[in-house]
Amino acid sequence: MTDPVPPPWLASWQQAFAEALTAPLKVVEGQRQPDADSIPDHVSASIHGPNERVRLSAEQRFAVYQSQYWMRLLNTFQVALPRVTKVVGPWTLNDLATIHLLDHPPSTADLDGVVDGFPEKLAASIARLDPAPLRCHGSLASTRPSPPATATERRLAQVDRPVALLAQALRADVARRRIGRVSVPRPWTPTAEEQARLLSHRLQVADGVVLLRFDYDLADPKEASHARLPHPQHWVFWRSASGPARRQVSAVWARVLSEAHRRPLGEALDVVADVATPDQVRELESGLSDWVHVAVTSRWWVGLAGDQRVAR
Amino acid sequence: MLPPDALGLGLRPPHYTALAEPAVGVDYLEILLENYVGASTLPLQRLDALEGRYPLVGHGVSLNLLGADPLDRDHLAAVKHLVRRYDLAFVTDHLCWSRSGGHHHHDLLPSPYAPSLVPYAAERARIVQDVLEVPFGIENVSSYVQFDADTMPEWAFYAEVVDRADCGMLLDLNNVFVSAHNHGFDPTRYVDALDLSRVLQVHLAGHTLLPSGLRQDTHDHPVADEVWSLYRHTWARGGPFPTLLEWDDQIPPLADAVAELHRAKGHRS
Repeated sequence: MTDPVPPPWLASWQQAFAEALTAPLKVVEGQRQPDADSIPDHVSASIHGPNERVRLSAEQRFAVYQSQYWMRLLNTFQVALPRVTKVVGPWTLNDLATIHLLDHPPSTADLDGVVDGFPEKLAASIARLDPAPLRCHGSLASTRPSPPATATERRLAQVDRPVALLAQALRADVARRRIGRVSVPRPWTPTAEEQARLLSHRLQVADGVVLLRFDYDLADPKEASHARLPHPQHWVFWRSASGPARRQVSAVWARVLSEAHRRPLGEALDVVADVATPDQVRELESGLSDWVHVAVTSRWWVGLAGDQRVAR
Repeated sequence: MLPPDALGLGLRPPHYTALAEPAVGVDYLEILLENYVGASTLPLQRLDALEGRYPLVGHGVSLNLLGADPLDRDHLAAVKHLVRRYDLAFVTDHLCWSRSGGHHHHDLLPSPYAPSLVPYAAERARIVQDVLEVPFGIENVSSYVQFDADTMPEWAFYAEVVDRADCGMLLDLNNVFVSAHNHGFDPTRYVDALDLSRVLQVHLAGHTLLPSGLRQDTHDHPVADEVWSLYRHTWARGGPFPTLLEWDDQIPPLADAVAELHRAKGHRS
């Protein structure tokens, strides 16, 4: 079944329409709105204008589509990156997303896919403005984009928010986005034999489990604020059986979980205990079985990895 | 097959949980196909949780029947996978274009209604139906523009494409009314020009009347009285047909949406 040949006028007609459709909205007092002047005469001249019920010119009627096109896409970016949107504000997010969309117009039927590549571009731009973005609490507005700066960098450098606030918000949004794309981890009930080997073997960590450190109140996207926390918070984001989930963990357990991603649990406990305070050591000793239970029942750990037996 | 007078609801995320409860008063659900072909696994997980509870039909926005670009065979294959995986009773998409030059515009874009476009659109619809191997229905869109290049009324264009493709209709009565208002024609004239025996399903939805006088197809209100009148007219002329309510923004609790859907029963005679 081969595709039929379109009428000869169709491709050029749709190309002209699409060029006008995707022309960026103009910004008036911070808000984006269709620019009737940007619609080419050969498009507007072919459209009927006002009638007795609708008092809109041809350009204004066309602008309904232009507005729908941009608002649908920009809203998709805001929904995909709620913390980033809250940190920089929706108008700035729209500016950044528009820059991205002009370079990367949507190419698939998956609307959410329009956001792909944007977080990476944002992260790279933040890193170019500050080489240690997760720890820099100075304002983005105090950074100086190095020439040749991209449009994204120049726009970010106008945002009066801490670099680390935006970098950490972006990490959290990216983690949430990634978690939505992994499969639900299979449950793991360790056998007696596996339990006996729990400390001496590396654990298999479920796809999508991410440990995040926040210096700002960023865990809940609805509650996310610009307020700096008195102490850093550590959170696990993961894919639970019912959907994306998150749980706060103590600093010492965050360290153990992080170390256990790359070495056997017993070794991870030793590494952390070596630099822990006496209170933290007591926390490690008294809380071990509870935290193992949490990690297994939450499906952060889904088995023992390979056959990497390590003498303890 | 759906019962001829079935009442359905467009499946939307806020209703996933409530739809798992027993006896919610919905005969079938319509899934938005594009929500289930992306990288996110969450929609499929949620749909799996409802599997077997309701008959499902599929509704798309990306087949680009009136587009000059070739049919997106990868997307079509993904839709076919959904048809088989979820046993979709039929699939529908719009009489519009949504992609050009390799770029998706994620909107239902208008086209001049010209006789030269009819055989092209019909052939593409026929291909879609053949590939999917389930009944395929074409939906009329709401529109805000008319072109000098329109050389036939929308209803004649729609009827002829469907007839030539030998496929079904998804007759959206809200869209008929919105376009009729925006362009100044009689909505009953539109309906009366159609072969209603081809209707697979009727769509109902709400819209917004803007200060300019334009009616915009926003799916964020209850169904307008004028659309209920058109439903009554259409049912009397060509019922019964499955009837589905779409609600995409300002989505109410499921019970309220179902109550709105059930108002359809009062307009059938």
